[in-house]
Amino acid sequence: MTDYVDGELRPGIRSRIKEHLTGCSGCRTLEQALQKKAVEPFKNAQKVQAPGIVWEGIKEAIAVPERAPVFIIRRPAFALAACAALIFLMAVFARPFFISHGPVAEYMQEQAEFFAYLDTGANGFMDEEGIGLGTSIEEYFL
Amino acid sequence: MQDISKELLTQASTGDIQAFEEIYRLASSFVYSVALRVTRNADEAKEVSQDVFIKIYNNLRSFRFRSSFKTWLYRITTNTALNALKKSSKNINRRVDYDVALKANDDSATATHAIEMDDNKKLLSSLLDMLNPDQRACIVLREIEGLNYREISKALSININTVRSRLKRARETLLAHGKRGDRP
Repeated sequence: MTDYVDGELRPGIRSRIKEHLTGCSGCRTLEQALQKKAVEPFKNAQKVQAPGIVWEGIKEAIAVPERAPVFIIRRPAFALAACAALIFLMAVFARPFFISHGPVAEYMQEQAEFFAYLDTGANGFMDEEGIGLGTSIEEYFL
Repeated sequence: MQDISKELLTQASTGDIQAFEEIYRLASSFVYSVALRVTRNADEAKEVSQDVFIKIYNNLRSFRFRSSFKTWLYRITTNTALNALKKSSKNINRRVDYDVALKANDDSATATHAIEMDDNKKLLSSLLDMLNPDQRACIVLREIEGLNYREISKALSININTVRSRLKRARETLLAHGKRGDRP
């Protein structure tokens, strides 16, 4: 019946239903009730116009001047990889600079000199023949 | 809704505000009408209409005319209206309660309001209120805007048989209400 009321049926089926309606009072009553209660009230619906304020709002929204182009990262994975590579390269190239200067470098230098000093046996004890016996602690146990 | 030419759409897609205003003039009645009937709220209908046209303006450049502009417009309008309705559905009960409270406190306001309301508008409003949002959207597009089943199915992105069943159920509801109204 819905399809019939909406004119969505093929002409052949439509004419058969129309024919049926002329002879069947029950179906005819249903069709009339449907037209009266569920279809006709909408046919008299008034056309509504959008209030002027709607266009004003739209105009305001679309007339906003375009902002200066902003750098947009289209592929974050590539950008991240590029950043990581850049940081790595900076670290590699900046390493000699940090190694030869600064407090860490100075400390490392001092330690190297100290071990070199120990290695020469300058602080060790010598026996009579001038052979080193190691460190003072070793000498104590000996 | 009146036809909108391809030339006008192309012109508007380049950012021509005057061309876009002409599109608005041709389509705003349809958009506002659907938004109003679906949301049942004038303020929401205004917001929905604005959203629809802003979406169209921003996306017109990428519109490739593979489907008709009307279908696109129907779809944006019904989706935006239904989404707005769903978003505000939490507030509806509160709003109704508020309205009921106001009416209970001021009978004269109720009477004035009733006189001001056109009978047909009232009837239409009460009929639409009986339907759920999906059925309402189908009935509005079919009965008020005159779309056929295929156009409704495209606008709502649903199967044509779903359109058929929603219309059937909507009419059953309206008929049941009509029968109750006929009782002495």
